[in-house]
Amino acid sequence: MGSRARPGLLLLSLLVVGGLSFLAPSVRAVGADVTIRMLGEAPIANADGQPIWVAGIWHEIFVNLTAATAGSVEVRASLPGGSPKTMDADYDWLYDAANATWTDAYYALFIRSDLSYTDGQHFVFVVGVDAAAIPGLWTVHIIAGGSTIVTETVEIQAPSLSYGLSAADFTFQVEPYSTADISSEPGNQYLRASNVGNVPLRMRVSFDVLQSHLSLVNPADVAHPLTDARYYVRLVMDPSPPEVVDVNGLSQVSVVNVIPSPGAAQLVPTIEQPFTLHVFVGRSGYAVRAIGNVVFQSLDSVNVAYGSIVTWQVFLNGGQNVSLDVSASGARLVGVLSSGTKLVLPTTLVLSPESEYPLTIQVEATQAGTGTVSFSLHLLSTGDSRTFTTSVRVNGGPAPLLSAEVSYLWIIGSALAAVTFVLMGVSQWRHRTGRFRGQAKGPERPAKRGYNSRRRARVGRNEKRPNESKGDNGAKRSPRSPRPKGVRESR
Amino acid sequence: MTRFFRVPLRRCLVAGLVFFALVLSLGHAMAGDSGSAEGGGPVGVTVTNQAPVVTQFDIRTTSNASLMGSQLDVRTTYWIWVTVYDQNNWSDIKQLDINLWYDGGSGSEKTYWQQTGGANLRVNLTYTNSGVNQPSVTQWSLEQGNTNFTATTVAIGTNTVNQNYSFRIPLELRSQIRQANDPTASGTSGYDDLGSWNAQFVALDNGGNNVTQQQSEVSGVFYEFGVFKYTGITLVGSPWTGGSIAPGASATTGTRNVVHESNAPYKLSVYVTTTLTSPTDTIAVTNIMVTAAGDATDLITTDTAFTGLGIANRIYLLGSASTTQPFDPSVNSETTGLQFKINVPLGTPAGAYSANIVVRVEQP
Repeated sequence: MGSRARPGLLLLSLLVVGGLSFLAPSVRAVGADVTIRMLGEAPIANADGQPIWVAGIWHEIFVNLTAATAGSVEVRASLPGGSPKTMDADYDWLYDAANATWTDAYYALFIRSDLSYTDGQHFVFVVGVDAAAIPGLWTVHIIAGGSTIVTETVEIQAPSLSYGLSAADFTFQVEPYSTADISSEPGNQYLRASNVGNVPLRMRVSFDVLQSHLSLVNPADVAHPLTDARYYVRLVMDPSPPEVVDVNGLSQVSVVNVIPSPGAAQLVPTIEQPFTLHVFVGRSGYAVRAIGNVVFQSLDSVNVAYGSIVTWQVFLNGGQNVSLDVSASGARLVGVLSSGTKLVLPTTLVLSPESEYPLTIQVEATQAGTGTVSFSLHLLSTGDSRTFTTSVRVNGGPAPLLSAEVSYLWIIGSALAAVTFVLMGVSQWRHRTGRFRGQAKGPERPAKRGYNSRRRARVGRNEKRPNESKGDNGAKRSPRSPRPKGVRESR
Repeated sequence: MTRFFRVPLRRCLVAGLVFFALVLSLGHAMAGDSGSAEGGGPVGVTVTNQAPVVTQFDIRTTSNASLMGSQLDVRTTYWIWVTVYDQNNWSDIKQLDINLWYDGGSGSEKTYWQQTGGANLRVNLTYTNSGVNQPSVTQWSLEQGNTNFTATTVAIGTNTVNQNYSFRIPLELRSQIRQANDPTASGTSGYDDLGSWNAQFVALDNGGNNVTQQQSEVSGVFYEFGVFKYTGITLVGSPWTGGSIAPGASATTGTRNVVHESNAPYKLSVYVTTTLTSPTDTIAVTNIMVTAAGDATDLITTDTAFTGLGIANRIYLLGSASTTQPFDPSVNSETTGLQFKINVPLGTPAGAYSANIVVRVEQP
């Protein structure tokens, strides 16, 4: 008997549990399930799992009944405690089955009857609340056959248009007279569009030049809320001569699915952010510089061992002739050659836009450190002038003096020179004044003699000593005459 | 004394002095770092304090691609990798500093300590040790800089227990960290890409050794990097609406705050792309004005009407056609109020009119 009673008890338990489950709030909506989302967007929810409804934006409310109905279906949304029948806090939308009409019962504004539809069991209301509706937790009721079949809490949020754009320093290098199909991805240069607001944004990127050559890789039309997308730029170029093309890019975003204002005038914002790209058609490793319609290609820097000669080429092309002068500082310009012939500078070059004019530059590293080669271009038609430089980095060689050291040396040298001049002046003055004094005081007091005179006298005395007996008072040796061997001057 | 003795003596004196100097020099050169004791006492050895050795310093993507010498994006997480070795054991390490700074962009390159402009121009991550032989993530802290850093996200790798450790430090530059050029010409002779950010790593030990690493330990190239341009705008709330306006009257919209971000000097302007249009009629664009009341600090001091459609008729709120608004080196964003006034001419048919307004933030 006991064993028989157990299945009965289990059945009873299931019935009780099943019966209670109909009373639970989440299961009372069994008659319908409801989904709320912005048009074309995935549903979003707050931290508590409650659907987010953004004010001022068209939304879809999917009401899926468990069975078809011939009656009307109504959706009510209101802010608890809010003023009834105000756009701030209270809305009512109705599908009238008898007339097959979709209406905004209170304002006749906030429903898109053209987009709303039903098959008798599934109802899609395309509706919205005014952008000025009070943010907070609202209650949504789904009413069918005069009874509320679903009650749900949703969070109404104010619309937030928040968009950021990151842009790299886009630079594309294309070989002259070659086709190119390159992406900015290897250089990790990209545009990053960040929609950190809660509304979808229609995005558009444009370029002012090279429109048919530049494009975004895998572009998207819509930046969805709280998304972040990177877009690399692709450049497709036909063969072209060396040139520098500066491109102005423009990113524009605007809110999609905005509900028109109920007022007389509404200003809908778009956000616009420009960015730039640079296309250098030039030889790899070369700096491409433009002046007017003339392009000059040279290296930013060259390396050379001290005492050696470095040789490199520069290239010019353009729509007018130029006068070129080249000079070097911190190095020696050996020559500028065209087709093996050394040019006399400054020289006039006949340029063409369709071909490059190559020149060979030879520079000798005569100093340690970094030198500079300057190329001065003067455009003969337009009169524009510009100077471009190439650094010559010299490896090895004597360490150049620091400027501080040079200054100290100058100071010391100047001081020594000054002291020397002063001493010379004093010596001359003493010599002359002594001679005059000697003449003035008469023969009893010998005139003061100068250095050379005293020196000659000393030499004479030294030479005289061994021969004093001969009465030789010293034959005067010319200061420049060779000193007798073995005789050392004493000072 | 006769000359016979005088000259040799003089030569001997000179030779002796030279020899003495040589002996002194040799003794100085041969003097070791370690001390020694002599005599009858116990023999003692002084262990020298070895300077910390930095064997790695790099900024990488989270895919481990090095970005030193190229540009970093803002609002993106990067990894700073550091490996430091101390022969005296890790407890000898007193402090580690990661210094990132904008070089000033003009004149001569600023050092880290010269760059005092603001939190968007200088970043300092510091590791502080107080004798601990095993590093922990919480010893790292952000001392300066508008960046997102969380110490608990630092990863520590042990290369040699108690001596050699690697740190992987996630760091995100905030949106107004100063834009800087891609340093295309970084060299081995110094920080030389003006207009870029510089980086250095400083290790200080308890023996007073201060090791500053400014160049790649492999290539010798100085640590420089750039930062992407960033501009952003946030508008919160409903569009600008004029409500119901009678013909011949005017109304002002509400004031909306335009929160704008730019990591370089910028211009902020507005213009109209489509005039006020209803399904059947239009109101001329010259009836839309930017009000002076929208913001007391912008350039609009009297209500100013648009003179036409398009960017050619833009109204500058900050900056002008020829000048820029200075970059704010300290904040993460700035706010400018924007309000419009709409005139409805007499004879305008009733209806709901809408126009498109463009808010433009640009770095020239």
